[in-house]
Amino acid sequence: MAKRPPNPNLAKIHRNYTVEEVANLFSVHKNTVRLWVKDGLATNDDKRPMLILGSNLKDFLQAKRKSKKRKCLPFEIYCVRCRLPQLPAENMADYEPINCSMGRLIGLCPSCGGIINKYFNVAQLEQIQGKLDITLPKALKHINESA
Amino acid sequence: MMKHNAENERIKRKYFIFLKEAKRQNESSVDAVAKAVSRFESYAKYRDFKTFHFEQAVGFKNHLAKQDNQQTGKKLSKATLNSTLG
Repeated sequence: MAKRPPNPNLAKIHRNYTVEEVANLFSVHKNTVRLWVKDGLATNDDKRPMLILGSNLKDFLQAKRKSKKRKCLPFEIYCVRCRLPQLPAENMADYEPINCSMGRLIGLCPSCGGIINKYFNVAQLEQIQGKLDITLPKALKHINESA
Repeated sequence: MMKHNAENERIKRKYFIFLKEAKRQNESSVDAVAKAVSRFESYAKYRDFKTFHFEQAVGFKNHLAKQDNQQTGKKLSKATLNSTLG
């Protein structure tokens, strides 16, 4: 299983750390910490041993965690293969109900052609109807028309 | 705005190691000291510890007594004052 990203709250804001201490704290390699410094983690000064302020470390890891998030808009579906939120190919998606309130939106990824899907609330289907051409299963369509 | 003094950070680090290793203080006790020192530093506008004057300490004491507790909005409790200045 992939390792969990470091928890920013482990860094104490009033303390300062050497590279080795940061590595021990987050159970990562020393070189990983040096890579963070190259990526923009601020150090205390240019002297040795290199010191990293806890407050800077916390901010850096929080920003890092935030930048990893890929938030989808309601009409977008996350493509696991491309690791991006994608608008389904030709704006078409199928709705497959699971129970009376929930279902899955299934579409094709426009860039890799793989199947992309996400869980969706029936009540919110109408909101995305303008953006996506949603194919409903026959039974559900029938209910919608009679209503 | 200045957020830290590089020389002070190194002095603080040595002092925390002293408290932990020589005085055998617990990690949480050292944390409490670290918090108090950082309170003093922000009051003294991150001036070098080498330029310390006793009037700074007196001023800090008076300043702390006027501060509000962020959660309750009342003045800082005597326990907080005692543990910060002690």
